[in-house]
Amino acid sequence: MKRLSNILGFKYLRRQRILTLTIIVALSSMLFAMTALTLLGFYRGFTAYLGEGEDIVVVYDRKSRTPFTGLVPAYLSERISNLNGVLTASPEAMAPCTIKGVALFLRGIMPEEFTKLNPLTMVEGEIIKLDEANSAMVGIRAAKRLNIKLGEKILALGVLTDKCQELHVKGIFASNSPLDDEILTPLYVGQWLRGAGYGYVTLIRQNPHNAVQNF
Amino acid sequence: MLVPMILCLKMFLRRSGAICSIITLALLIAILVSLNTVVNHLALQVETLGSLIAPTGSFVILGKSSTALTDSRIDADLASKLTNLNYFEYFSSQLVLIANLTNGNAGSTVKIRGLVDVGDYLKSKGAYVNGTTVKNSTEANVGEILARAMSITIGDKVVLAIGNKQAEINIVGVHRSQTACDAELLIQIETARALTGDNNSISLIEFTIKKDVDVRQALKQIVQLLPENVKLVQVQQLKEFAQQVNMQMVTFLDVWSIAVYAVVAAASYVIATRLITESSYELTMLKALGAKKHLKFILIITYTITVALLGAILGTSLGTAGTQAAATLLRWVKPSLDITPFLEPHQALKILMLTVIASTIGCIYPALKTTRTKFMEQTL
Repeated sequence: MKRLSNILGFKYLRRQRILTLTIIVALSSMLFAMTALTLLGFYRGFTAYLGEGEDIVVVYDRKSRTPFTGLVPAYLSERISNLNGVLTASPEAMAPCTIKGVALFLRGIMPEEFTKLNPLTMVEGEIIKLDEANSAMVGIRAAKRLNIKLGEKILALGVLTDKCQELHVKGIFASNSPLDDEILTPLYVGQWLRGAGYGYVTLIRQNPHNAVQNF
Repeated sequence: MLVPMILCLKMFLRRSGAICSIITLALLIAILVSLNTVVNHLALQVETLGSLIAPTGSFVILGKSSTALTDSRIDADLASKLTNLNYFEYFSSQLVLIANLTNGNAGSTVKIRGLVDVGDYLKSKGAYVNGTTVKNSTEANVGEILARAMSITIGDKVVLAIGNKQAEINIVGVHRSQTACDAELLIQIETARALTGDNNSISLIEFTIKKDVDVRQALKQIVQLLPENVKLVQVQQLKEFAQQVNMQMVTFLDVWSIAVYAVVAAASYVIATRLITESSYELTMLKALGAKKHLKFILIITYTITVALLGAILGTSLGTAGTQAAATLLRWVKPSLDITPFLEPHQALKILMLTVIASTIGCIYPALKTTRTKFMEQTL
C-alpha cells in the first residue's frame, strides 16, 4: 500500500484514510442509488400506469389530486383520432378494484384501438371484444398471482364505487410491461367500476406519428 | 464527575475520527429517510384516494364457495329470515343466470338477472328507463349496451333458453344505469326460476343498511343469522384496497429499516471499538487519575450515542433535502410527474430514537469489554 501510495504520489493517503474514504463513497453512492431508484421506480410506475411510451402521447386530467381520479371527456378520443397524422386514439378507464381479495387495477379499453398501441401476445385464449361486457383478459403476472385460469369466472369488487362485476376470463396475455399486472376489460366495465359516466374516461392515449404540432 | 466527563467527551469528539463516524451514520440514516419520504408521498396518494369517496354500506350475500355471481347458490328462505330485521334501506333477492338469448335470427349468450321487483332494483341503481319497467313474468327490461349489441328494441319478443327450458319474453323497456346491469336482461325472479326449474335457491342477496343504523351492530346480527355455506361481502372495497397498498409499502420500508438499523448497530460497534483503540492512552490516563470503571463505560456509551444522534440529525436533513432536490430535478425533466417527498415530524423522531437504540446496542459490548480490561492489559 505504501509503495502504491508512493508510486501514485498520494503520500498522505494512508490505509485508514482510504478505508474511511471508501466507506463514505460507498454509502454516498448507495444513498444516491436508493434515492434515484425509488424516484425512478415511482416515475416508471406512473408512466406505466398512464401507458406512456415511445411515440405514445397521453391526454389526462393533470388537475386531479391523484392519477386514479382524473377524468377527461371521451369525445376527445374521436376528435384526436380525426387529426392528421394520428394513427389511433385509445380511450381507457382505469379502476382500482379487488379480485379474490387482492388489490389490482382494471383497465377498461376499446380492444381494437388498444391493441394498435400495445400489441399483446396471447398466452392463452383470445382478445376480448368491446360488446362482450362480461369478458376480461388477464395479464400473465396477475393471473399467476391470483391463480386465475382461462375460462374462470371472477368477481371484481369496486374501490371507487359500490359496484361489482362478474367477469369471464377470455384470455391471458403477456406484454412484457407493467400491463401484465392488470386486467383488461371492455371500456364500459372500467367506466362502471370507476364510477364515470359513459361520456368520460381516465385517459386517452394516442400515437401521433409526427403530428404533435396538431395538438 | 460530570465536569470531567464533559471534558473527556469534548476531547473525544474533537478527534478527526468522530466526524467520519458522524458522516457514515448520517449517510446510512439518509438512505432510510430518503425511502421514507418517497413512500410517504405514495401513502398520501392512497389516503387522498380514500378521502375522496365516502364508502357506502352496500353488501351482498353469496354462496361461500362461489367465485362469481352466476355460480353462487344460496337458500331462498334466507331472504325471508333476513327481511324480519329492520336494518335495511334496500333489500333484493336475485337469481343471476347465463342464458341463450334469441332475437329474430341473432342469438347470443347473455347474463339475465331475476328480481322480485325490477322497478325497485332499477330505482336503486339510479337508472333511466326508456319504456316501462317489468310488471309480469312475460316482460323484460334490457340494458342499453346489450340492446345495442343485439339490436333489441322496445316491443321485441325474445326467446330465453337454459338447457331444454325456454321462455318467450316481451321487451318493455331499455335502461341505462351506468352499472353492470346495462349489459343484462332483467326479468322477474319467477321467470328465472321457471328457466332453471329450481324454486328453492337464489344467487345472492343485495342490501344496503339504513343511514341511522349502527352498521357494525347490524352486520353482527345479520352474520349471526347466516348459515355456514354463505359469505357476506362488502361491495365497495376501499378500505381493503388502501390497506393492501399501504401494507406493501410498510413491508418495503420495514425490510429496509431492519437492514439499515442492523448496519447502524454494526457501525456503532466499530465506532466504539475504534474509540477504545485510538484513545487507549487517554482512557488509561483517566484510570490512573482514579476514574472508576463505570465512568469509562458511561463515557464510551455517551460518545457513541452523541455520534449517532448527530449522525441521525444530519442524515434526516440530508435525506429529506436530497430527495426533495432530486424530486424537483425530476419535475423539471418531466413536468407531469409531481412527486412531493416529505417526512412527518413523528417519523423523524422515530428514526432518531431507533438510531440511538441501535447505536446503544452496538456499543454496549465494546464498552463492557473495556471495563473488564485490567490496567496492565491496556495498550498504550
